[in-house]
Amino acid sequence: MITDLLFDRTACPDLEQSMNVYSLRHKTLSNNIANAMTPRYKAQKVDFEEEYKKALSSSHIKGYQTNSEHMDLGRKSLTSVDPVVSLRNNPVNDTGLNNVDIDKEMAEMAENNLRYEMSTKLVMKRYANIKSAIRGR
Amino acid sequence: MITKSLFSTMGISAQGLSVQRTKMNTIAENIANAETTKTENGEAYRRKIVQIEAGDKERKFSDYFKPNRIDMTETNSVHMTDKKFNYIDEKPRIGVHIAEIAKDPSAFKMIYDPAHPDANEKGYVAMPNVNIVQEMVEMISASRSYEANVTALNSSKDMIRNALKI
Repeated sequence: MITDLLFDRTACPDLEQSMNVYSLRHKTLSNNIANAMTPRYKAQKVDFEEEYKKALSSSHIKGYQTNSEHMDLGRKSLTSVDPVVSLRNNPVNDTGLNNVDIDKEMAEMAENNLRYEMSTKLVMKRYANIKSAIRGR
Repeated sequence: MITKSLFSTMGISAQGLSVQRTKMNTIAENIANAETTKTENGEAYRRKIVQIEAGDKERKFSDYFKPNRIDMTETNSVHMTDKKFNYIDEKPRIGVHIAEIAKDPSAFKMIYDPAHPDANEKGYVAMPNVNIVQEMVEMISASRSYEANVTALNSSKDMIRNALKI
């Protein structure tokens, strides 16, 4: 019960899911960069934010489950949406080799890195808060 | 799960580095042999081309069946077609590897030099089909690609380090 209050209702499961998504996206971007010179390679991307938005807009009120028999009401949590790897629909480059836009991939990787750092920092803060609550000062 | 994913990401970048290094070695060999008129097989040096392919090098068990598949022919419009069952996997490919280091089949450059020991009976010497300018361009592109992979690898290292700080 105490663990439910401490961990399950905090943002930690959601942050964990966001870190999973960012690491998968990082893998996809690394793969695109490694294949930047591969003929006929098709660039890939990770879809998550759009799917999550769709899940969010379906309903507005979220019901709490205080008992395992309770119905799951309202909006979905981050953990219920899975990231999907799909192909990018960029046009083929001027070189005619493949459709990897290396500048875009590098920029997206930098952004993704910062997002991942943000998630890790938030998890750290979360635990620091719990720790200060336990200490009581 | 997350560490597995991130560490395998470093593996992908490492594959990219390895491929670009091999490409660089091949280009260096081409440039070094740009004037070689005689090799082991008697003819002039042929330019080597690195063929890069996406996906892992290891072949799956199911891949061994595909080349032996018998194609069906349609002699009547009512016949079933195997076009519907195309075996091309649309699954995203992870990783990169070198498919083959092939030799450029294009013709040698013929230069008139009757005094040369490798000259033919008409006095022409077959020079390698290496174009120095093209090799230079490919070298720079391989070098930049290598750098991009290093950046991706460093980025993975930063992410793992951040995760370990929690």
